[in-house]
Amino acid sequence: MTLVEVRELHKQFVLRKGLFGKVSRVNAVSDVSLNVVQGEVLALVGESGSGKSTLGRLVARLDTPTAGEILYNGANVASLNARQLFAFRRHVQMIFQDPYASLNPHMRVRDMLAEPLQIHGLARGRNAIGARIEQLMGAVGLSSTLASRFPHEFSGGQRQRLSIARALAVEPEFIVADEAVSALDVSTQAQVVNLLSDLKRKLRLTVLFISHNLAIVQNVADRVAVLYLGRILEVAPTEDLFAQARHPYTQALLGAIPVPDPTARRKRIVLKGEIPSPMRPPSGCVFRTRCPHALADCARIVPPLRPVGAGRLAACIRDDLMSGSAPQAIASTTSSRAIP
Amino acid sequence: MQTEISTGVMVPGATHHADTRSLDDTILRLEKLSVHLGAGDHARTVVDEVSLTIRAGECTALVGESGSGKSLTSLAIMRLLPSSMHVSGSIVLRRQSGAQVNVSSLPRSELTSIRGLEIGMIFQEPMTSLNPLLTVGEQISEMFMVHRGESRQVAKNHAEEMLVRVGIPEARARLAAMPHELSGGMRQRVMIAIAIACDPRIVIADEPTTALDVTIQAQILETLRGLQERSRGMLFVSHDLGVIAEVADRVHVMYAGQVVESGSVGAILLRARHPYTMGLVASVPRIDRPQPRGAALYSIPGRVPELARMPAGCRFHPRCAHARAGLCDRVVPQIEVTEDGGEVRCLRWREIAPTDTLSASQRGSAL
Repeated sequence: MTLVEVRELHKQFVLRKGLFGKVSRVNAVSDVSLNVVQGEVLALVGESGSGKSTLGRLVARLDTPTAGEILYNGANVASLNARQLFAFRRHVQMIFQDPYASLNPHMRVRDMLAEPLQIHGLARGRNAIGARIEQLMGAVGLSSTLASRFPHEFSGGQRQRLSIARALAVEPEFIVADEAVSALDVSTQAQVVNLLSDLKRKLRLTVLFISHNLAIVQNVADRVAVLYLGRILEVAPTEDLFAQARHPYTQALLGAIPVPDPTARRKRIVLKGEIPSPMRPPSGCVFRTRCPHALADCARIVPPLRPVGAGRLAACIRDDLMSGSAPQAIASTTSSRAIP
Repeated sequence: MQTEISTGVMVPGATHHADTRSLDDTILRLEKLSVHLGAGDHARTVVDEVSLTIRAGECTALVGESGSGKSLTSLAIMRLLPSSMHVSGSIVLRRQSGAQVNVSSLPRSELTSIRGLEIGMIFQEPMTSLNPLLTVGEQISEMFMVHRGESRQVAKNHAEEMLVRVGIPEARARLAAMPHELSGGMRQRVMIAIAIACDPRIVIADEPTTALDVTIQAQILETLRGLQERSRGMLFVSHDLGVIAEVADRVHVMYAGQVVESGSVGAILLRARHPYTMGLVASVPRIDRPQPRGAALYSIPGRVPELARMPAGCRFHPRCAHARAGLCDRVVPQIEVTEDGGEVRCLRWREIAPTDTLSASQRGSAL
């Protein structure tokens, strides 16, 4: 069952240099259509400027789209009235990247967890609220004896646990996690990823998992959508995407991830050039300026996202590459460094 | 081409004779370098007796999590520590003239002859380490004007050459660019150009690709690998074991201010001996060795100790699956040399079989 349906979504930011300065426009999200199925973890991956965070914020209605619509359980998120929005906030919660910035430094843990309970009337009375706080802290692996502390008294990993507890306080069904583990050290990161996976299973959450870390995405996501300069270039079930990426950008992205094995001689595509500025995206296919397979037509045609196999979509006009039967003809340079 | 030397370390591209190598190739040696914070009763040791060697043509890596002391170690070499910290131990640099100096005891006035000339430094965030008010060209030219006494015009030509060397297109035009007009990757290339402008024999790179996107990181790593030509030595500081695997020859793993293990990059990443290294390697989720989806990622239990509450005995023992009561919580482990030329700081390393980290990561969190 589809929980969230994103239809032809656009988000344009208008930037002005100085008071009377030149106005420039950034198309952070361009013509994105995407479904989130109830109970799945859908990952949004991409590099800086890909629009993955903007898309997450739009879905959580922290921003409003310039065009297009987002349906949550069939209702258009943009046209919710105050009462509906209140209910929507209870169902949809967000976890942010930086737990140093997203927790109020002046609030004790107890108060920051009690606030959503009181606002939504989920627990009444001191005892009920106290019991729920204890339960929430337990769920994220923190001792409730820490409830009277302030955020600065916690480590980065613990703070991210607090962010998760706060998000879970209202018993949401849908979580938008924006780079929720990216700021953490690797050993802590694994702990928080495991916690999120456990909670997702226990509480039957649906998760939009925004991350630039593809190794973690591979571990947690059911499906993956790859974004580049505001557009979706590929959508596929996780196993299929990692087994055989179809889009040249996805292939390059996967190939660029260093693995902690000096003997691994992987096919490596070092992409030439820079990620273009989102203020001046290339015509036609946004990836064509760095694509090893670009044709003249790629500058003219905006490739539609189209089916390229079971449950897979890709936006590329090269039928020969998208069929999946052709070998992945890649301009690869095999790493040839000597291994000590 | 690889050369086997007596310590068992393979040096890529080494053209030196095995017997003279260890003598001739050392450019910088840290001997029991410690960094202390504060003074008197409140003094804390934040870096504890780190010893390592940087050799010509070789990349030595310092790896560890936040607070392990890896960045402080690199800042100490450049004498860039804040004034609240002081250093003990020595930083022995062999200058290009052949003379040896102890950088830690050099008078401040002589540091200009080290920084930039003997040792170049690349920082993590080029936006904060470049001057936002000067053009790229001015910042690179300054190196040639200060250190080489070149005229503005000559220095500018050299700056342009540097931009070409670090792979910046349209170098001539980019000389006039301000840092904020460049992308993160380009800014990092400018940092590299400044660091190597005066052809130092050592480059220290502190998390040089951490702020970059992965496709740009791949480009910068290629550029950094190229720096080891001209028998330059590199100290590479990173928390990312994947990046370490791409660039490092030797690796020193730091935990809670100490080096707990060192060895060749292959030994550290594939045949770790110290339980912390094993745990660290196993914690990295890997696209080359996917686990079943949703399977718990391995994680080291507990967390890094606070400075003020360093555990007695081995600093890692409260988190260690191999810790033995009465031993690891009492006896402070010293560095011991392994048969393959590595070093390990563990009381029980001989009893703990070097794990294949693959099986460790597949055990999941059941360790």
